[in-house]
Amino acid sequence: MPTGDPLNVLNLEQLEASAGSDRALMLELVELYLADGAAKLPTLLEAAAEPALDRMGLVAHGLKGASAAMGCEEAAGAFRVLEALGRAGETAGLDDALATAQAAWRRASERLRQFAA
Amino acid sequence: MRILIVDDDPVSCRILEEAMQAMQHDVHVVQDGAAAWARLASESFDVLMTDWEMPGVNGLELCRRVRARVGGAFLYVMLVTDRSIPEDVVAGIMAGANDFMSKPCDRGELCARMHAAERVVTLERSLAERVRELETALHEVETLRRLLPICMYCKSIRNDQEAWDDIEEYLHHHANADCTHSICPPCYEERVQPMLDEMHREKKAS
Repeated sequence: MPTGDPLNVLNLEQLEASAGSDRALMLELVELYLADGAAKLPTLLEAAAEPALDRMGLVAHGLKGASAAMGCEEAAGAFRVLEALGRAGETAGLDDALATAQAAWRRASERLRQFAA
Repeated sequence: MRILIVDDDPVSCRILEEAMQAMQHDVHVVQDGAAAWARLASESFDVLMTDWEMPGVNGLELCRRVRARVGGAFLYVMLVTDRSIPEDVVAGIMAGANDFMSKPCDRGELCARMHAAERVVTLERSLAERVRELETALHEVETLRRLLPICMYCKSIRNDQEAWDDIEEYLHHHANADCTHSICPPCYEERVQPMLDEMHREKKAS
């Protein structure tokens, strides 16, 4: 079924479900998510570069949960892949997964900023 | 209710916190399992809502620690996690969780589950109060059972029907014991020997 958001960058219904359709809370969550993600993403990249895959998996887990709660389904999926690689201690495909997650995060951030504007 | 939320993800924390505050609960938030365990050791909460994946003490370990505590008031534990397969639900509940909810949470479902939690907490409180009352009553009964209502003059004993029994009859009915009617040396000297002496005197005189 065609949609205006084929990548599932932002599912507003999920955000509304998380916040009980409280617009003020949704805006607060957007701010919190963007700040938390901006702080955690460098940590994730550092952990991946070391590589400290356990730590990377744990950070990815947090970002995945927050993304899912915000309705950022593409980002949640990308961080889920990184979490799985971290848990498995697997470096094969890590660079691609990191690039995918960063791109998904950028798209999610942009859509959330548009929503909050 | 007094609720402790434990989650290292600030977004999830805020969602849970706001939902619980909207239900007029007294909400407290910590970021990891170790901090939660410290709070639980020093304060009383009705509900613990905990994430599973956390650095250090994770949600499952927290559940186990809570259930291994000796004494203390009942604590309702809800695991709120992005895990959702049946094996995880089983592991969570076997570790001591009362409920298991998958993230991302629907606020309506979360509130409904918290109403259910409140019913359980109220029931547990009521049960604990009733147990305390029964323990107090039992203690009083034990105390009364150790006090034998005995007449200080004739040594009759008041029975359960408020009548007075002879002590031998009372022992027969309550302790399943019968008396041999022996005579102790002091009583022999004081009571029996004078009677025997009197009998001898009367016999000599006649």
